[in-house]
Amino acid sequence: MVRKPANVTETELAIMEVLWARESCEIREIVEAIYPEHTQARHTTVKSLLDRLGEKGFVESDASKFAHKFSAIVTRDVYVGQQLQRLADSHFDGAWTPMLLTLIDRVEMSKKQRDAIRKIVDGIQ
Amino acid sequence: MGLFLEMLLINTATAFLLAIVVWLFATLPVLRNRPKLRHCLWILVLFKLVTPPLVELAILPDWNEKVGSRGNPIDTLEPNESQNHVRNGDAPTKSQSRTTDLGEVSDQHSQANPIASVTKPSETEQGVTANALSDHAAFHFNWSLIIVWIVGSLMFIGYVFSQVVRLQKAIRLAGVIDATLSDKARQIGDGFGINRATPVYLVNSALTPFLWVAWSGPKFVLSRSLIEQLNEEQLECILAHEMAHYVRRDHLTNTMSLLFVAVFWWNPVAWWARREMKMTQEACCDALAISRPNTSRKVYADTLFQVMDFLNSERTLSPALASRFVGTSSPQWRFEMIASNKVSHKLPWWSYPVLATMVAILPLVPTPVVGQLSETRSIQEAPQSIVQYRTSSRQLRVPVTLDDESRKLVRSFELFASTDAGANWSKVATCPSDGKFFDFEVMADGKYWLALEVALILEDPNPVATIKCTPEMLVIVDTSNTAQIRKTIRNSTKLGVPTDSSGNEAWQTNPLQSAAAEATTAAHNGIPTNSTPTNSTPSDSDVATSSLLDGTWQLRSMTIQGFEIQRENASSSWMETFEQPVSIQGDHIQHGQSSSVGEVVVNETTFPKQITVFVKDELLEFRGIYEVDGEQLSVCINGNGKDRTRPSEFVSGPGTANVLLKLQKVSQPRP
Repeated sequence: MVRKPANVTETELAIMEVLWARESCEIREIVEAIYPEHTQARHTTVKSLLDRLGEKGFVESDASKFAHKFSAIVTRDVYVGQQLQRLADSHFDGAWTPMLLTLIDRVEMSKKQRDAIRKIVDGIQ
Repeated sequence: MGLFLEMLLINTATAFLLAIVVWLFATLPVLRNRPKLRHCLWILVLFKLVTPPLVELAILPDWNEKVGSRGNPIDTLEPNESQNHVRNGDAPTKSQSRTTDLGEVSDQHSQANPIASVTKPSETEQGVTANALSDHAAFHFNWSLIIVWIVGSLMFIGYVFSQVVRLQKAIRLAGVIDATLSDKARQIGDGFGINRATPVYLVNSALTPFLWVAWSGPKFVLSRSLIEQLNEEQLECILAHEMAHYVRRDHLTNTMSLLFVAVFWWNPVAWWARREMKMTQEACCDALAISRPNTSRKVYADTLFQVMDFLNSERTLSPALASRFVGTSSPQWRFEMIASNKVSHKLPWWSYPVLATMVAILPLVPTPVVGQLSETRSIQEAPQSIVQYRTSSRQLRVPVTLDDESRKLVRSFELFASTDAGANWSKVATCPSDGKFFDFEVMADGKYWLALEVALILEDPNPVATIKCTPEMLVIVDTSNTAQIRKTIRNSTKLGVPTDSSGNEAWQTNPLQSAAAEATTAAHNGIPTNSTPTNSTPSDSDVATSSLLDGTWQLRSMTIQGFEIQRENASSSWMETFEQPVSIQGDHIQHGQSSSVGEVVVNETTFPKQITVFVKDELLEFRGIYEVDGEQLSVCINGNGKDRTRPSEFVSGPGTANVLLKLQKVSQPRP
């Protein structure tokens, strides 16, 4: 069974946006980027969110220094691709999203059907 | 509710038939190479689901009536039907006089009790109860369906909304815009007359190229790995196809069709029509894309083929997704259409009047309804025209009002009753031309529709044609409440110690027993006064007070259970009963100075004549028969005031409560 790519919440996504913008940073830097000022409560909250993102495989930490440094494992591009792929698995033919207009729907064809279509295409003058 | 469900069903059936026709005709050249026309026809199929029932065709049988579980009788009132099902063979054609009206209903010994609005009666009559239960169950079933329907639609819309939000968020994050492709998309848009920026986003997923129409405008999303496999001309084909969607405003059409599916999520026709509509939408965009100058059909078809191969090779399809487009929806047809040089992205000129005619005709597809619906509805819309009353007595009195001058032309008034909202009528009472009211008795609780007929002197007294009854009044008889009141009062009423007139206790032994005891009590209360025997019900004919009974009567003899007590030989305990006269004046009857004054009603049209005495204070009703012979009056009356049995002969045998009374008139009535 193929494991679906994990989803992230809006709050987690805000942290990922900071990590995508910087190569690596400490918790304090993330807190100051998201909130107007740093407090202990906010520091704890961000720490919890980073732990959760680490469990999901989106973030890694560097514990070699006194202040741990965090960086994104999954790039923005990959994340977007995963999300779209995930949506595509369920409804990418546009059945559920009227604003989505696709080029072609995925179809499962036998070799015979594929050959028939290939023949049509080759026969076009 | 019924009409709404009928409309849904007939619309679904009509849409289904139309869908089959469009689907079959799609293989013909007239539609095969005209995807835009097919697209319009599928939209019409969707619209047919919601067209109102402008035309009704009364062809359906009334199944409810046949199984005896019809709804509210007023709702299904069918006057025409009632005209042809009169039971009484002697019911002649009558001319109805609109100046003749039925008055307010009252029971025969109480004031009228009209109700401004009908309250739910506690019907105990079997048929009426069955109808009420059926109505109740149908009501809850219908509302349950509607609730499930609404909840399903809301869940559907909620899911769609959540998916749109997720997709919007994902595309917002896809920040990599390819400037070269964006410029190319802008140029293609200019070719279609779209003068706005169309950014192209590249993502690292094996996705089909798609266009996302956000509030801020259209956005193209392409797979990076896909565009690496395509040349510039092929990329233009892809962008042209997606731009064609935007030019055609397919996102609006799709939103509309999605709303149809959200509302009719339970209807497979809606899903089918939407799916076919989307397929023809793609064909339309293909036709529009290849109509661009310098666009090669072969390159376009080859691009589609490559994209299809890319999607299938990059990843494994989920079985559910893969199986959806196998079969009649094979993309082979799409490629065949692209290959055809006859395909057109425009509507043919003749299709405009055809489509306009279909738009006009579709709502006019007749909705089959239960026979005579239009007339039924006219009654339904005016239920207030039928006056409704509720009474707690089965003895009913319905006044007849007509001016005296007009009454000279009347032979008789006749009252007809129906227990099935006018389907069948029975004559329940007749009133002479100078009569003031109908008195009749119903046999059970329930709803009774009443209709008045007038026989004129000028008319044939024995016409052949059937009567035409129109319900004028609805009477709801419910005696269950009276029974409860009686029970309560009886339980709380106690007898005290009897005394003589001076207040001394006067214990006396009653020589009679059991059933006779109650009859004796009735006799002591002065009930027996007028009389003569009968074995038919009073509801069969006129009920009026006889002037022959008016006056003061002296009790001569009384027979109880075969034991006759004569005035001359009566013991002292009976002396008071025999000494006190019985006076009758109009419909009032009184024995001596008793405070209990009764009401007497007689029926002279039966043989023997009937008499009924009501003692309202004690909630008793004594039924009997009587006979007047000069100054002699014989009465045989049931002494049990709670027993509705009426004696049939002038006999008081052992084991019965019947009391035979013989009275002598001693004075004429007061003027």
